[in-house]
Amino acid sequence: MTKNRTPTQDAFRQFLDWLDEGRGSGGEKYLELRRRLVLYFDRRNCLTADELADETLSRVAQKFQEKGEITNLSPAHYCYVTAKYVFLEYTRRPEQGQTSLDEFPASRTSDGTLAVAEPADSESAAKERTLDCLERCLKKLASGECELILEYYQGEQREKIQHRRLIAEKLGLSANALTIRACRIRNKLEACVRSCCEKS
Amino acid sequence: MPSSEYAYNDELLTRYLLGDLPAEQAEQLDELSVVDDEFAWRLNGVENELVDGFVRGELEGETLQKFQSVYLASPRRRQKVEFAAGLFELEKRTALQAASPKPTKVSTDRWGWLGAISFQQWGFAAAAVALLLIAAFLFTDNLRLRRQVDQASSNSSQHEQQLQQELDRQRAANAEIQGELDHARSAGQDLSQLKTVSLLLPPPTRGVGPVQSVAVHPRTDLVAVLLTLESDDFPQYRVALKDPATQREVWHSPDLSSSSAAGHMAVAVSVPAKLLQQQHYLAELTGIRRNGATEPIGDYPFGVILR
Repeated sequence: MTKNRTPTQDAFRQFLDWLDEGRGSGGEKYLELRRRLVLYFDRRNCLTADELADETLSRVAQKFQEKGEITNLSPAHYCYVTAKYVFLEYTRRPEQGQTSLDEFPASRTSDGTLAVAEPADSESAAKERTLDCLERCLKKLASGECELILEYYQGEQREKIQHRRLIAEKLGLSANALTIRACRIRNKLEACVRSCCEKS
Repeated sequence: MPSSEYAYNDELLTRYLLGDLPAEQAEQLDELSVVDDEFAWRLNGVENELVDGFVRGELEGETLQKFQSVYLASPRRRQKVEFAAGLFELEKRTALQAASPKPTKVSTDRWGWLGAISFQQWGFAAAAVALLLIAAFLFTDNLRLRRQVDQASSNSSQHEQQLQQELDRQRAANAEIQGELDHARSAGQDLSQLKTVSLLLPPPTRGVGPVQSVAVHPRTDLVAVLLTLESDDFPQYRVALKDPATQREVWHSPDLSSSSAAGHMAVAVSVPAKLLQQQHYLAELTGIRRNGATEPIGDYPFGVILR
């Protein structure tokens, strides 16, 4: 399915500009769309959500390069329509996203004997690793971001709502704008922790 | 569709995230989740709250059940839960540190009498206390070592017994599967070239355990799935295999009895491999009482990799 679709540097810059719709986000819009596409494929239980998101954006970039412009739909909408086709192809081609048999300890071929999968490491070790990565990644955040994310999730139920109202007042933000800011920081932190855990 | 219609309906968004909406409605929200900024961020926020609710033990009933069976079926979403659990743990530790009492200053007036004791008297007292501490340590350490020696010898024989029991149970489980194959063979199927893969699934829990996957070769005929039971409360069981995205039933078993597998009671089913696609599945286990009444027991998620 995958062709050689690597766009030139200029073409890719034009593609990013088109995705931005004149907002000049410096690639932020591309990353945000990619994140949404990964979640779309993941909610549809695709095992290779990242690859499918990349495939979608790659096809859109190629189409943009071929046509020079896409005017009938907004960039995000065009990406979504393309993603639907990529998903349909994925469901029709089960060999997509194959993983080697050896990577799955649960699935040794047998003649009726049991193959019990063991987790890669113990739950407590994984928990400690996540915590360790979380502390490291928190240190990488800007100090304002770090304070906000820790404060935003403090408290339970009503106390938490009240707490968030105070934070929004302090920062001069609406409740909605505060939610978006907290989500952005949390997404950044999550991505950092995921990358850190994979490395370690 | 105006996104504001959905923007603040957390309940609807939660149902969407848990795969609980009709396909047509879910597709509308799929579209909004990619093309509509406001909706995408709102959904992001609701998902974070949902995941946080799970790690804090605030979810219950059907929401909890759907979360365990549908949401946790994806490795990426389980990572999200692990992250949320880390955040929660960090919050607890921070709160604990903040709540721990700070050392208090001692008033010199109140304890001024201590100054009346001479340096030499302090020296004798300190030596006596040190001797007492050393004696107490030697005594307790001796006791501890004795206990460890006793425990080590008893553990060794216990461990041997456990291993033997495990082996017996494993053999019984294999015999169970062999029995199923024999039964199929006697029903007239040509099983001389039959190829199977098997998978042992733990009981569904609240924890974020890894969802196990089974790799299915094109020539695989049967996938033997063993659903481990937390407690064996029913004389018979039934298993329905469902697609978690659509809740569509792909296959169901006849009535089955439990057997012993890898140290636990389990229900074993053999699913024809040709029915399976590369995706996640839920094995929905139902208990059947003697009077025929049925009771849902739990959902066992697993993934299929087509090789």
